[in-house]
Amino acid sequence: MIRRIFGLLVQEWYISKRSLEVIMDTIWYSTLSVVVFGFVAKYISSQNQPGIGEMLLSGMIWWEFLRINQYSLTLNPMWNIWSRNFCNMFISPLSKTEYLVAQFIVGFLKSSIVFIINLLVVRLVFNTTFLQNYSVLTFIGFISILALFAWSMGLVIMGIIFLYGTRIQALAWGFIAVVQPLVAVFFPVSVMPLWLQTISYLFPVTYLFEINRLLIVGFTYPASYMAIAALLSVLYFIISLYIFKHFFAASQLSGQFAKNDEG
Amino acid sequence: MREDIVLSVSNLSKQFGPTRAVSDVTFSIKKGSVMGLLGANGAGKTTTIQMLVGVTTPTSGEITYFGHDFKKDKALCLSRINFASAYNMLQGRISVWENLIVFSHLYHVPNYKKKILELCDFFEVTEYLHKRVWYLSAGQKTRVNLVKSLLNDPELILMDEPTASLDPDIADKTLSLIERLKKERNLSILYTSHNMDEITRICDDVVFLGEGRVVAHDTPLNLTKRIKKTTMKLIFDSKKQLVSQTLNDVKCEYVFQNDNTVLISHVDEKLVPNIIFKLSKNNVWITDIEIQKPDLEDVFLQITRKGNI
Repeated sequence: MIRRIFGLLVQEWYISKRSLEVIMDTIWYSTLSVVVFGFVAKYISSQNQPGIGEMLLSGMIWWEFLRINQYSLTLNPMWNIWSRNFCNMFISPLSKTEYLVAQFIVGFLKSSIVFIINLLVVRLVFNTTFLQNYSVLTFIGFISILALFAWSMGLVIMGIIFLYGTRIQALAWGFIAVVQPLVAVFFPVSVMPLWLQTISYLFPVTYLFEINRLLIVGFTYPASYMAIAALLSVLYFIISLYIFKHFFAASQLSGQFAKNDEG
Repeated sequence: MREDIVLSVSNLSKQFGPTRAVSDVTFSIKKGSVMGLLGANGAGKTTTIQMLVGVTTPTSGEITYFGHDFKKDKALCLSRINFASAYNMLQGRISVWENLIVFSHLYHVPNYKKKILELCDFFEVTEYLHKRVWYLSAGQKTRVNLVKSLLNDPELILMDEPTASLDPDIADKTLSLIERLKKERNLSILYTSHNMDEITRICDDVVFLGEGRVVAHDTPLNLTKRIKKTTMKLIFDSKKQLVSQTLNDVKCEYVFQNDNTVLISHVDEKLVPNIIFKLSKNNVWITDIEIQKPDLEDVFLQITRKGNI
């Protein structure tokens, strides 16, 4: 099992190091967005709005951690589908579990690298950091919940692509954008209409972005927020695993799984 | 279950909506033998292969590899077989060497670097090892695919039109390599192709599919023997009209290629002496006779046009 997972990690390394698109899509665009937000934050902070700028910037950095994780998970199978190599891999003794574990590791590694680069850029260019108010447990909570939520989104999108084919491949990089306004990355949930607030609180990461804003202005956060976020993220992950398993099986039953390699 | 059976397929069926793509297909492959899976486009070959390698789920039926139920012991079965196709490629963005390393890990190949080099040497692809796969020619890709398909020392390889899109020279070389593999490794092969000469050359057994069903299953020689009609070419030194009159009398399908050559088609083998006798009796001077025996291509054409043989 470990050797097959290692094989997939090695493949990802080979693809990434040779693909300018991967480097551009992950590190370059992400870091550029953080730099732009850094300047916006600096400007807002200079207008007697302490904390707002930092809220925006930290929201962006956490959001990029989530986005890259999900993007990596859904784009990795596409590299092999586009090369007509995807079925080849599943004709080997590779199991779904091994495949998913490898994708989770790759997604987490990529988003962690981008996260660290973004933190360094913020520190070096804007001489600021937002993590000083985070306890170790809070930090671990953020990382774990954001990763679980990203994987959940990624699993569902991957399942949909397997089932319906590459004609809806744009979901791999476009779907997460729909979630962004709903989870209140850059503004408090309270500014949304009531009916949208209800929807917003159905997402685990909404609680994290609320916690982030409280921590930035030096407040403590209600423990229930973190607990709800953790519970919801586990629930999302379990449901998404079930959906992925179901879509994967349905794709093999409909013949679409094999057709995906036909271009 | 006989020990020398590497693959046994029983009543395999696949339904796509209202379409029955594969219907009650049954066959088995013995150790060390090559079976050809033939059929016109849409006959169900590709769907059958896809079910055999586990990327499409059958509607019903059983697949057994080496006595193990494929559904229950999928990973075990897949670790002992492999697949090569002209249509499935390796990862194009990375080099041949990198691709082969990835598949060595997926198949748990021990001492994999040595193994890769040995196989690349066998298939004469060592010089392309560090080239990206998408820069390889069709022939080079086919041979690299064959290297991949042998990494795990499989006991059975499923080959889906491995020589498609190759020029005759490379196709011949590839076939020679396959023949050598069969001989040296006692390898079993399930082989699909539209090239009947290839099938005749390397297959011990042939399964013909028509509209998803097995319509014929025999050795290539026995299948050609089932076609009793033959084609005869006669060169004569007489009047064309005389030949025409005689052939009309015996109710033959014929066409004159020139004033002294006639091609008589779909002749029942038993009638050949009779035709020659009648022509001679009518004072037609036959200078040469060429009888073209039916081959697998004729079998293929008869099955695809008439649905059976």
